[in-house]
Amino acid sequence: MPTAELTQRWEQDTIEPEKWPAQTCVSKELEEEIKQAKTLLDLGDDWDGEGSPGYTQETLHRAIGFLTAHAERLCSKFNQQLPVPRIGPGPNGSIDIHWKSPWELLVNIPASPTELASFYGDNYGSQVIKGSFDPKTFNLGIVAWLMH
Amino acid sequence: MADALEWPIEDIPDGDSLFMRAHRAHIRNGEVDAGVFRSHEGGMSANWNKYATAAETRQQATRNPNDNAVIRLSVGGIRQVGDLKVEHTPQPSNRAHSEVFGIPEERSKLTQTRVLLRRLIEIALPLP
Repeated sequence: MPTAELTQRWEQDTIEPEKWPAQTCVSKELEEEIKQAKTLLDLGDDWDGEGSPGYTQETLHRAIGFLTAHAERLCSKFNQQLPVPRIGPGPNGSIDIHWKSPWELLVNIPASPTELASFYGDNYGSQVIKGSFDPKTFNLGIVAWLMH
Repeated sequence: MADALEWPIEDIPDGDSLFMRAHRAHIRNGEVDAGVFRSHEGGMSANWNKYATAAETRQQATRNPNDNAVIRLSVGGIRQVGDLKVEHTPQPSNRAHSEVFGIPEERSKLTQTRVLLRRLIEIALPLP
């Protein structure tokens, strides 16, 4: 079991969504994943027969904005491609962004624009990162994790 | 007759398993994602494998059973995640009905719980 207590607080700097850069650093594979994620919008309310709400364009935009901003920053500052996550349906209309490699990181973008996104990651061992953040901000901690 | 339908509540051993449906939207390339775990009023419904099969669990879907795979989770494994509890909560029409309680409401704890639960998933019945 990971040691959930070992968390690290990370510095953040903020960029406004409207100033997010063009998608020049978005890989073909990430573009494909984003295209696939747009099918989430086809899932209307009660799509699973168990009362789950559907997914809105606004939530998807925030998820894609978060990804493209971090892809651009990784590329321009560190000359690295963003690993391609899986974008999937989260609980209660939220959207999950999930990376799996030698480590794992799950970022959840909430349906409400006023709620913070949450994240949890570990290396299947003692290294753990978790917390919450404004998905319209750039999060250096998450970038550092993605550069593992 | 009604009394006959009131099943006794039993302790579920750590070595047993729970079955849960996983909608096809949560499955890609044979892998189930963490979004499959969601709670309703603090609990997550499942079937105890002592009294239900994976096939029966699929057939209990209220709509389009064939849109669902069935996953298996070890009870002992669930109990090692955070403060999760597994309890037998039989219903008149479903003796196997059980609940996982203690799913956190706080968002970052919920995200952590979903990651850790996902690692327990075994596919009991794939999508047809």
